[in-house]
Amino acid sequence: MIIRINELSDVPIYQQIRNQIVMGISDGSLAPGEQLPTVRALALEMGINTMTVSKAYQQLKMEGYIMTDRKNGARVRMEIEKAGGISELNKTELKRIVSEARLSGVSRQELLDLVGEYYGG
Amino acid sequence: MTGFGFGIIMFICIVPVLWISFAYLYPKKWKERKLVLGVNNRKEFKLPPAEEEVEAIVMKSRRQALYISISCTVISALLLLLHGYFWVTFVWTLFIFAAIFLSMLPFILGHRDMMAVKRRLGIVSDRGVSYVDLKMTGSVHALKIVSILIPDLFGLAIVIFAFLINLGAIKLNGAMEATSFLGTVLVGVYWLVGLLFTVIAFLMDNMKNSVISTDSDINVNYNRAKKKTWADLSVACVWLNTVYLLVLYIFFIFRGSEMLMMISIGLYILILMIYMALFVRGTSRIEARYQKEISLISDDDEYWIGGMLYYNPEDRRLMVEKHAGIGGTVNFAHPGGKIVGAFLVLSIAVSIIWLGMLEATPIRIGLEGDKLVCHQLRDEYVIPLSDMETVEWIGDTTEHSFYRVAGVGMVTLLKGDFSVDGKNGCKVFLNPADQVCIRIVTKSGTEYYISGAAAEESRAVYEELIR
Repeated sequence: MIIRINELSDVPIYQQIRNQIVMGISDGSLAPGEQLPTVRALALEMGINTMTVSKAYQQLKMEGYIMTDRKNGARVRMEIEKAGGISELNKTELKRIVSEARLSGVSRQELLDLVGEYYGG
Repeated sequence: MTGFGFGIIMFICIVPVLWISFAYLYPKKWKERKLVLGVNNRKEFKLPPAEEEVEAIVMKSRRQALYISISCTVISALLLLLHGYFWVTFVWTLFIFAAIFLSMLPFILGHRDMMAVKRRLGIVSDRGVSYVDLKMTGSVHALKIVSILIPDLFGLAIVIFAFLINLGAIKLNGAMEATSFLGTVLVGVYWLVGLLFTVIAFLMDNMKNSVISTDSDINVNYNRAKKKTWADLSVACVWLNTVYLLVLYIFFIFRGSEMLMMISIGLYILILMIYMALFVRGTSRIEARYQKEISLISDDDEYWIGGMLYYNPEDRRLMVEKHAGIGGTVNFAHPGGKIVGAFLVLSIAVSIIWLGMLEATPIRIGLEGDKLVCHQLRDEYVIPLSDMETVEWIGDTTEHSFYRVAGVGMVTLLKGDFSVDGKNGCKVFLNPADQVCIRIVTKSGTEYYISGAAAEESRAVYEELIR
């Protein structure tokens, strides 16, 4: 799985890492149980601070996407807890995206098609 | 060592390096390369209207580099006709700096033109954007630690052996003779060269992997192939260095002839050049093989000054893969890179000042009480008169061969540990331009070849010594 990092983006780097790993798990690029690189190795490869990667992993662990232990490092969880809903934060973000799309002249169907494409299945 | 011998060694060094650099930096089949004149090779470059323009830039740089390489080769051959060891070393040193600069010049100019094409095409570098493939992070390595540490340990054993002989802990007999301490230091320096190869090998093996495709398998195979060629080259170089270190030590303890020494140095360099040529061929093949697989470009062109110096304050890595030539280079925006840069500039400045001081400060010899003192910048040698066994006047130093083991060899100054007429461990402190000197053999068997700044001064000291 390829992670794209933009150092000049407004989104913090740890958030970019977290977001892309979540997307990777969602689209199957990262399989359940798949080993993730160690914090040090990933930081070295990206040319960023280890604390940044550690923060991203901590968040992913807290949200239940990955599990970490001293022996095996970080892995994608075999079973990801299905909350069955969209968080308030994501609802606000989705509302913003839909609003911008509408203002840009994107039709309802086009937007739904796009959501369908991203959702997959 | 004769001037011709030195010239041959320089010729073996510089000519293959020139042509290997030419083949690697200025390829005819530029479309098969990941980088063109230090700029990421994009698909836009291979399509009209840019294709023709890029082709013209590449061919122009190639033509210029070809003329420079041919000229440098011819000049190198002509330099073989030079006589006099000191003039030969002086002219060759100047020539090497000039050749390095000239051979890179078409690359720097070509890089500037390529960046202009890129700007005209409206291609904007993704500043701050980089890609990482999770699948290969920290897992793509090709260097086997044991294979590179064995020759290093073998070399270390030779250095320890030589040192123990110097300390008198081991006695040699028969045709063998212990090397001087400086000889052991020289063997140690060669071991350190091997160690440097090892450090470079580890750095290259742990270098950031390139992400060229969205397919992780392609990325893994590409990086593994590249690291394998580096690992193979490094291991071969360390083994070659260790074998040469052994040959050098055998040469010292058996008092081998200068001719043998020259041949061994020549062979060492020649084999090194063959390794480099094979490495360049291997790397070029990998680039050509994976060129069609490239679907992602980490565009950092803007951070390369002249395509050669990497300065990226947003990149926290110290080592990055070169855009010009083979291997890695440092990020000069990194604190470590700044230290390396400052060290390089300081080293060059200090070397120039030091050489200037050596050149400008006249050597001086004279009797001070019951001692003969040889002085330049500091007291180099102090020989008690009571310790002198024989004192002899040498009217023509050109009849003797001086081979520098460790020390200074300049047009007007020879200083340090030399092999004179095949005898190692001789102490030399003279102005070769005068072509006269005093030969002193001490009771302990050490030979000194000394002279003052002028022939008259040397003669006067000699008269006093024999009185």
